[in-house]
This record gives sequence, structure tokens and C-alpha cells, in this order.
Amino acid sequence: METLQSLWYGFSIALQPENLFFCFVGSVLGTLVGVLPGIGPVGAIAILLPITFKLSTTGAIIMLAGLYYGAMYGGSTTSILVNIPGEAAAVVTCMDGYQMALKGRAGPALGMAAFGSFIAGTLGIVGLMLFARPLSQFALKFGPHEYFSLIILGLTFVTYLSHGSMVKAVMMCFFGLMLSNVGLDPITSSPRITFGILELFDGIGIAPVAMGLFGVGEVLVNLEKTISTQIVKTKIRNLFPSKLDWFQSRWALVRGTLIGFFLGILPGGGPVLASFLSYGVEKRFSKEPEKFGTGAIEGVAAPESANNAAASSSFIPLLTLGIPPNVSLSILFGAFLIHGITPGPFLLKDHPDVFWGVLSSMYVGNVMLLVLNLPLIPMWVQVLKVPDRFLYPLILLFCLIGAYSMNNSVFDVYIMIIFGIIGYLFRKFQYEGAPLVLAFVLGPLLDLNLRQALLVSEGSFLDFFTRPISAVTLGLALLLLLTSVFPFVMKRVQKYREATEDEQV
Amino acid sequence: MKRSVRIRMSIGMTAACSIFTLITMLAGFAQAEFPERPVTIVVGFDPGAASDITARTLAAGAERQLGKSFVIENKGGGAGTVAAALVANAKPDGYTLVAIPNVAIVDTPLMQKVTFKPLKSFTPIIAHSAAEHTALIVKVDAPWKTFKEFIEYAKKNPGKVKYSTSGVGTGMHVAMEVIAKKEGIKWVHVPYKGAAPATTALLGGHVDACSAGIGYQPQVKAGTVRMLADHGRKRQPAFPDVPTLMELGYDFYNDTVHAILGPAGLPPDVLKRLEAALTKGVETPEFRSAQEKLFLDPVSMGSKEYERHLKEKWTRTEKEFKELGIIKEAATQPE
Repeated sequence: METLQSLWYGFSIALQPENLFFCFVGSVLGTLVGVLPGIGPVGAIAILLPITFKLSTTGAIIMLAGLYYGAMYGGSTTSILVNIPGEAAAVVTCMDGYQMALKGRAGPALGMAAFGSFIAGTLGIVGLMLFARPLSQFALKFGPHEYFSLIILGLTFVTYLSHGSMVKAVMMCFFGLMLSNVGLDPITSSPRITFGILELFDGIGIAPVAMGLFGVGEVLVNLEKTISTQIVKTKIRNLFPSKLDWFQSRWALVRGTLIGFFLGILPGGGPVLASFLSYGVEKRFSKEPEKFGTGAIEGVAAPESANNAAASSSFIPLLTLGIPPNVSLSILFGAFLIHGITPGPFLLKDHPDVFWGVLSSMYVGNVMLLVLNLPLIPMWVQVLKVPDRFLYPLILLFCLIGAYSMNNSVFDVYIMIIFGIIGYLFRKFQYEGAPLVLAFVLGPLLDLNLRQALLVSEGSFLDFFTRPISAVTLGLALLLLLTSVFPFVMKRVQKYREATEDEQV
Repeated sequence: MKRSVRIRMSIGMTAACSIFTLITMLAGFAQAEFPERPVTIVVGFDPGAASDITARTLAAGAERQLGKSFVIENKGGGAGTVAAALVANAKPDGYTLVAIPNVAIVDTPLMQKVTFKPLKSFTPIIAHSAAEHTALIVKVDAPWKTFKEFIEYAKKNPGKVKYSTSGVGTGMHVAMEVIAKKEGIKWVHVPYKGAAPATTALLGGHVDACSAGIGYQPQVKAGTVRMLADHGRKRQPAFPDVPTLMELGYDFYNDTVHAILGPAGLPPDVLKRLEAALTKGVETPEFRSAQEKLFLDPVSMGSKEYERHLKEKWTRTEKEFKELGIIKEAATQPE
């Protein structure tokens, strides 16, 4: 009851014309930033930060928060239309989203992404409102051991991210882990695999790698095809998800939201991990796992709901503990400080107007984003009608600009081109990019947490199994690994038996 | 008659026009001095870092004085050394500057080889903020109420105390090693990536203490952590009861100073204009307020002074690092 009253109070603040305007601006800019490859929410929030110095605190935070969750909406658009992830959390959406677009179902994919984002984002805020405090304490329980186990669990999902050979998926996974080790060692700060190149000291960026592997690689592969087999010829069917689509996606939405919500709370986990894991979980639970990777709508619904739920719940540690769980929210933390407010245990008591105002604005913002995004779908779908001879050069151009604009670095452009060629070769030899990207994202976390854990436990591996959260997570990982490897091994054994039986006959 | 008047008038007009043109041209030449176009400040860290927010706020105030705008570019990486290397090789015309803390010019190059000569490749322009009040903190329910109690425990239990920092070779790490060296303590360093995760690790009880970067202050006020020692030169006004390491008898203070530099060999008049404009930018209330909110202390060093400061810091830090065994030799030659 008290919560409802507070919420009412929050809405009275969020619905003031001024704050409504800031919410709108934030959401629109966020969508834009999400759609454009390269520039992500981090850069955009930082650029807007000085402008907000002059605004009211609530207005400023409302706008910056809108930008952050708005970017999660926009990120899927280019993934679906042209196979370029608009930002890292949208990499998984490429896998089935783009396949749907190829089949002329870009509309339903975009629609499901928008509705999924809306549903999960809104449920995430409800969760944030009701469970913020107990959950923030839970998040603190995650130390290096727990993270390490969680990442191991994440990596076992690699097998679900692949459509073809499992051996190849595991190979890609290790290649990704290797690539992620480029740069300074997180514990001793000594350079690894950098060849003395200064730019490599910070490692390879995820954005140029993903844009190269997916976007550029796709363009190069398509250059081989003759004009006649293009998307243009595929009739673009209905623009919004059908009843069947909804029916198929219902559990994906629920599970995606739950996974996203929990992973979003953990510092460092965030939307990227959530999107990958929810996809894996869907494929695991699906009765037709072979459908994934060929344009299954669940493959869009799950990651898109997961990354938005994670975006909502990542506000929990910031607002209740004063701990920003990721880079975007670190900047938001800075924005709070500059306005003279310290997010943390006392925020709710000292500045209820800011707390409830921002929270309510997130409901408003999600509605705005839905209203904003749905009418855009028919327009986006038109993009696919652009003849390939214009579309592909444009895609390349946007990738180049995107890669450059991240750090104003030509080096990143080279990285993207190199990975574009690698992506092309992958496609020719049927290796998949997604396991590589997952391992690449998790690699640095795995490295850092493993070594921190060993420092803390004085070199003993035993702690991984004696700490309850860590042990349960590792057990789950083992179970998953066994259940996915078992059928594969059994098939081989079967084949071998048949072969030997044949010989005997 | 009429005609001659007209001719005379046209001659006069032509003459007047030419003179006017000449004057404006001359004036144009006179104005062709620095700055003709916007000045780029390359920030050595990602958006949102202290270097970034200070540079943006500073630029907003300095623009009015300079008459041309500043363009802020972020080029994070290598703890600021990537941006430093970029600007070290830029044309020394005053249109490309870099905003980095002195750590990127001294501490990091001491540990890793960089492509620039730290004390030779730059023209220091202005140093504006110090981030010296990093601190040793423990959880509020920890058994140690004072620095002394903590040290005694650490002495009696070698290898038991674990502390987090935001990375190897940071001032926060060096502070702990200076204490360990003097007291003969063995404790375990658990480096994190940045100040926020390091503080989080303490709150979650995964480490016993944290040598915390700027930003821990709200936690102290919220009563979740206790400050045992301050790394600053003087006590922090907000926490007047917490002693500094200097007072506790250690020869250490965290010397992190945020500054703006240009490539080596800036023409003296360009340097003068930039120094004047940026100094004006520091004096705005907006900048002072941002500084305060970021827990930075105002510092005011001009070009010459900052140059001297960098030289001193290099010598001191090199000695410190070698004594503590962080490095054997300087990885980069300073000149």
C-alpha cells in the first residue's frame, strides 16, 4: 500500500511536463544510439552529461536513464535487419532475428523485440520497486568464486549457441578466450599477446569484433551470390507478430525476463551475459532446438526481454547500495554526485522525489519507447527493399563509421576489417561467430575472477566447491554439460556399434 | 564638370574601397594568430572518468576566454598513455591537447614501455585538480577501530589480511606496500578493475580491507565502511578525525594530479594564450562545483610549475617503485 502511494507520488513528478519532455528526449536518443552501430549508451550518456548540469536533478537522471534503457530497444533493430549488432547485448538477436528477416519476417521479429523489451523492461521495474533491498544484499554475496562459477556456467551454454558441429563451437569458444587475453594482465599489469603495439594494450574491443564478424562478414558472403536470390524478392509478410508468434514466445518472454532481472543485479554481469544465457536456456527447453538459428521467434524474444530486464534491475545496486554495476551506470552515478546527491542506502530517505520520480519515469519511458518503436517497424522493413547494390555499401560505410567513432581510432577500423575477413572465412567453413563472441565477452571476467579467487583463498581450489552459491552453480554447469554432451557421445557410440556390427556381418 | 565630378567620385570610392579592403586584410592577418579554429582536447579515459568530466567542464569556461570552442575527444586506453602517445606526436601548434593525470606520464611509463618520452614529449600547460584523498577503509563491522589495531593484527597474522585496490601500481597499491615495507607486514593484494568493484568487494566481505580510490566517501557517510587512514597530504575537511599516512609516520601521499598538456615545443605565445584561457576555465563556479562533487581538491599549477612537479614526481616514484620491488628498472626512458 505504501509502495503504491509512493508510486503515485513518483508519477506526479514523472508526469510533470518538464520531466516528461526529458524522458522523451532520453528515450529517443537512446533508441538512436542503440540503432547506430558503434556508439553505445556509455559514450552517449557521457556526452550528454555536461548538458544536464544545468537541469534539475530529477530531470537530468530521468533523461540519462532513458538513454540507457532506450539503447536496449534500439540495439536489436540493426541485428534483425542487416545482421549488425547495434550494441553488445544485441549480438544474440542476430542469430534468429536476421534469419527471420531473410525469410521476410523482419516485421514480426522487430515487433517481438519491441514488445519483449517493453514487457521485460516494465516487469523489471516492478521487481526493482518491490525487491530492491533484499536483492541488493544478495548481489554483494557474489565474490570472485561465485563469479568464476557463474562464468563457467555461461561458457557451458556455448554448445547451445551453435547450430552445427559442437566441436567447432568449442573451438570457437577457445579462440574467443584467447582473443580476450590480448592486453594487460589484470593482476600484474604485464602485457600479453600485444606484440608491442600500444593500441593492443587495452585489448581488442567487442564492438569492432562483433561488427566485423557479423556485419562485414555477411556483406562479403553476399557478394558471392547472384542478384536474383536476394531478400528483395522475398515477399515481406505481416508487419507484427501473429497469434502463433505470441504463443510460441510466451515462455521465452517469462524466462528471459527472470534471467535478465537476476543477472542485471550482479555487478559486472549485466545485459550481455543475460542475453546469451536466456537464448541458451530457450534452446535447452525447446522441444525443437533445431529450429534455433533458422529464424525462431523465441530466439528473438528471449534475449531481447533479458537485456531489458537486466537494464531495469541494474539500477538496484546503484540506487540501494550506491554501487554502479556497469560502465553506463558509473556515469549515471557521476551525474548523481554532480547534482549533489549520493545514491545509496539514504537515497530513498533523503531524496524520495528523485528516487520515486526516476522510478516512475522508467514506466513512462518504456511506454514511450513502445509507442515510438512500433510505428517505426514498417519504416525499418522498407530498408530491406533497398537494392543490395546500395544496401551493402551502406552497411559497410556504417560499420566503418561505427568502428571509428567508438574511440576515434583507425586501429579499431583495421580490427573490424580483419574480423570481417575472418567472419567471411567462418561462414565459408561453417564456423559460427556467436560462441566466439560469448567467450570473448566472458574471457576477461573469467581470467580476473579466477585469479582473484585464488588470491583470496590462498591458492586453494577447494573454495569453489565449499562456498554454497559457487558449488550449486558449478554443479548446474556440470549437469548441463553432461546432458548436452551425452546425446552427442551416444550417437557416436551408436554409429561405432553399427559400424562394427556391419563388419561382423 | 558633372562628368569630372563623377570620375572623381568613382576614383575616390575605389580608393576608399581599396583602403578599406587593405585594412580588413591587414586586420585579418593580425587576427590570424592563435586560435583560428577550435582546439581539440584528447581525454585519456572513457567518458565519465574524472579526467573527462573535469576536461568538459573546464573547456566550457575556457571557451569564453579563448574565443574559440574546444572539442573533447575521448581516447581511453593504457591508463591514459594511448592518448598521451597520440598527442606527443601531434603538431605543436596548440590545436591538439591532452587531458590526463600525471600518473599516465609517470607511474604507467615506469612500469610499461611507452612510445613517448615522459619528460620531453610534452609542454605542460596547467594542472587543476588533485585526487589525493584516497584512503584505507574497512567494513564498519570489522574488529579494527583504528589504523594501529589493524596494523597490529596484520603483523600478527602474516598472509591473512587481503586488501583490494583498483589496480597494480596505482597510488592505492603503493600506499599499502609502503606500509608493509616499513612494518614488515605480509598481506595479499587483490587488484580489481577500477575503484567501484574494489569497494564492492569490501562491502561483500570478500576482502578484509580496501585501499580505496576516490568515490568511497558516500559509503563512509552511509556508515557502511570505516576510514582508517587518509592518503592525502593534509586531512580531508569532510573527515577531520581521520589521520593521514604522513601523520602516522609513513613517507607517502597520493600524488595524482589532473592536468592538460600539449605536445613538446608549443610556441610561447600560444602557450600563454592557452594557459590564460584554461586558468579562467578553472575559476568558474561550475568547475569548482564539479571538482567538489568529484571529491577532487583544487590545485593551481601553471606551465613551469607543473613541469617541475612532473620531474620531481618521476624521480620520487622511480625510487619508490624500485624500493618496493614493483619494478627493477624504469621501463621507459624519461628523456
